[in-house]
Amino acid sequence: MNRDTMNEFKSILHDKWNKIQNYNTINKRIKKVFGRKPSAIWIKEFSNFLDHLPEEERRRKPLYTAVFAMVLLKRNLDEIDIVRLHLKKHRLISFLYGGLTILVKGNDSKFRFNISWSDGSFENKYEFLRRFVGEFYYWDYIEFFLVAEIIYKEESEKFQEILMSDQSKLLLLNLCSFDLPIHIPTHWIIPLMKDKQDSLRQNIGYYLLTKKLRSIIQQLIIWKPLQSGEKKTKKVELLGQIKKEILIVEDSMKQLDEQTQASLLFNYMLSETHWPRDFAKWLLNPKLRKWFMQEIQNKKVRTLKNVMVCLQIIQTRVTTSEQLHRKENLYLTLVDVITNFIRERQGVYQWTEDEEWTFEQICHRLPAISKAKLKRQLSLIKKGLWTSRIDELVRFDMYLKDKVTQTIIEGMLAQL
Amino acid sequence: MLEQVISYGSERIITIYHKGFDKDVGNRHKKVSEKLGRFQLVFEEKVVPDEEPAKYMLNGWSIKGLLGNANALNPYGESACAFLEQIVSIHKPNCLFTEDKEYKLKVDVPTFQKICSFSKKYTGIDFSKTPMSFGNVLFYSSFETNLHALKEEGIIVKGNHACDLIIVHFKQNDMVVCTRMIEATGFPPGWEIEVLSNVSWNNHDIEIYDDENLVYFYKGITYLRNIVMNMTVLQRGHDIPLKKLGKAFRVEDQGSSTKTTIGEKRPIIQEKLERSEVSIRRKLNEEEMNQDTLFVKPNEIQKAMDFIQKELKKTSKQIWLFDSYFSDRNGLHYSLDWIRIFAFLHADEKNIVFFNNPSKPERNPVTAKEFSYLTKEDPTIRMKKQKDKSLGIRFYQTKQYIHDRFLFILDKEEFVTGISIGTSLNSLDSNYYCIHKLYKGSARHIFDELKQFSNLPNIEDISSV
Repeated sequence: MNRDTMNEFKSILHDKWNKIQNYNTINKRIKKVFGRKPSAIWIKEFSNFLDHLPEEERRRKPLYTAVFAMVLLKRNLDEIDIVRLHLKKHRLISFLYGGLTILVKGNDSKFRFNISWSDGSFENKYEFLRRFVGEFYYWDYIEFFLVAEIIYKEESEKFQEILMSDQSKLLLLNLCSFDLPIHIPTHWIIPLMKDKQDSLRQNIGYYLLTKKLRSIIQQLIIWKPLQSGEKKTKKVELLGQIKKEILIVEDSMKQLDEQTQASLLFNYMLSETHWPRDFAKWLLNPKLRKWFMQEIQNKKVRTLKNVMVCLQIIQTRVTTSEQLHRKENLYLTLVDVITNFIRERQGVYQWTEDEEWTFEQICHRLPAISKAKLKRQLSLIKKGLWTSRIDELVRFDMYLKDKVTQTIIEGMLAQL
Repeated sequence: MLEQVISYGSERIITIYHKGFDKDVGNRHKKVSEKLGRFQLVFEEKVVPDEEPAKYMLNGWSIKGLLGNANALNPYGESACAFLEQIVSIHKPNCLFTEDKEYKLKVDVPTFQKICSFSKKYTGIDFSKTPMSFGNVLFYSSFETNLHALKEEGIIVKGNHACDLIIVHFKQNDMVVCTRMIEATGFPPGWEIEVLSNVSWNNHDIEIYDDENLVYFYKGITYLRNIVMNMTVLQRGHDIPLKKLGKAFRVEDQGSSTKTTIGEKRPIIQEKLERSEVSIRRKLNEEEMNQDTLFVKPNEIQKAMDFIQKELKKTSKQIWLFDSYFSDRNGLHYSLDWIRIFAFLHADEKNIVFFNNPSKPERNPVTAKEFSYLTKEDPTIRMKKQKDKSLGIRFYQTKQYIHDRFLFILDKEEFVTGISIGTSLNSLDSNYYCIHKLYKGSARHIFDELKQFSNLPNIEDISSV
């Protein structure tokens, strides 16, 4: 083990992660540089190499350890326990932690992750997570995750440090998928959710918080249609578990401020097909209600189906009576949202059976006053459209756009 | 009748009437306004009781006829031909035009263009092609006709108006291959007629007559038979960070392309012939030199001078020359040659703008005053011109170094054309360089920018002869 070998390790990692060389070439290089020596011997030699580093290079020890460990694990991904054991034996774990911290913090210009995620186009960050979970480059950077796992198993406090300073969010995003055998306790999640500057981190926190809840709900969906005896007990058992999880979620949420609570709850309910009624009850709570109204008005409600979810939330039965009359405002806000869809030509692009069915459901749930308002607003818009024969001849592009809008409005008015 | 009015600054600029849309529009009243500069541009449309064209003929005369679809005054585009009665008025809107020996634009060009595009959007007429139509009154009736292709065999013609005779010329490219004349007297409105061809065709002309009058015509109608799509899938590009040349350089991915054809495919041999024809014609075309650019090698000074002389021969009111090295003492005789040429040109004003580097006095450049003196004393000029008469030449010594050399010609209407010369005027015979012609907006914008260097405070010294 000498300086040349160390440079080769660095070069392999660089070429692999920057996709300069392909999978097979990298594997060949790894085989060549490591030879047949077992990992235990390699770690011993590496420890020796570190001890004999000249004075001015001593501060590079963490970096070297991180690089070495990652390339060694790449040789054989299943050796994680052996590598962990021997790294511990030679007291290299703290250096490994140091190297990972440098990598993750992103301050060193030569040793950091530079990844840009495509969450920019999602107003609802939870939806982004739900849709792309499992596709966050897990296998491209597998050695990094294995090394992180080693730190977790050895010193979980230090692992939390790494997690909190994860600049590129690579580690955080991959924790959301089921691949990593790392359990995140609740008191780690709270600071994530409190980070108001970065809504993606808040939603990652919420995603991790509700992981167990989601999986129980999934099981319930499978068992629900079945009615026979023992399956009924299973259902009761699952419902009990759900109640417990909801209490845990409630406890954690209480520590956050109201705007964050409303935002996270709303994101969850918009993106999931099944959600606990309790979430809706919390959103309708007077303290959170004004934030709920704000959430409806921003760009998260993008389709008629989203409007449908909002209605389901609003119509959840709540026990306190003072909340009844305030629901009017929420209904009227929703009516404005639908009108804006039409006015700005977004949200509803055509009138097919799907849209018709969803709108029918919406009409069943809207109170008469709101429906009257919607009818008035839609009729007003319809009057101003350019859809007569003269428009078709003289102003064809305006006619074309307004014709589509006219079809949609007529479809809606037919049901109001 | 449907009345459409466009006003600018509360003054009507165009009035249009359409016959036959009363029932369709009903009592819909449209009004759209846009703020343009200090005034409002307003479009208004509503149904009014029938108007008589004769009412408007006090100040003008009327022109009547049928317009095809390519005509700028046809608002219906391709769906219908328009029968137009235009009452031409000699009084043009005051807000747009000033009247003198000629009607001139009162507003600036971008504003006028915005007014034209507003009019096009709401009335369907592009007035930038017929600016003198502003102020007139237009009466339209339409003859809407629908055409569909009937596979390969022919076409179907549908219409709501009366018609006697339909003539269809089926063509293969420019060649007429089949003609059909159909008598349609007595068909009720809403008629639908099939016209078939027994020869293969790819476009057609059509004329429809009613009672010996032409009511609809269109040349060269083609129908969509197939679509060829070239699709490329690109990966995300990436940015290369730079130190001096800006922040970053964006590199796009090349991607991989596929070609898809929807619809009927043409026979391969026909495609081969067409492709070869296009490619050979392109090769022939490429051999032609671009007349706007001239490349000069050392010792080809006559070629360069011929090009420049062609520009100077144009009738001009002002000539401007920008050459920072004009004052180089080593090339003084070249500069004096140029001054001689300028002295005998017919333009009213000849201006030469040059630079003296104040930080390098050892090079001893020529100053504006010295140029004036040398010009007055030059024997060739003295021989032909009176001593005290002004030659119209002005020398501007400027504080700003301008790298490229420009020669601008302004004609009596102040339209700018010019040339850009790649080397200094005192080295036209000893360099490899290009001379480019400048036109239109480019010439005007460059000239406006550079002219500022002939104004205070950019001037070191001015001298006139």
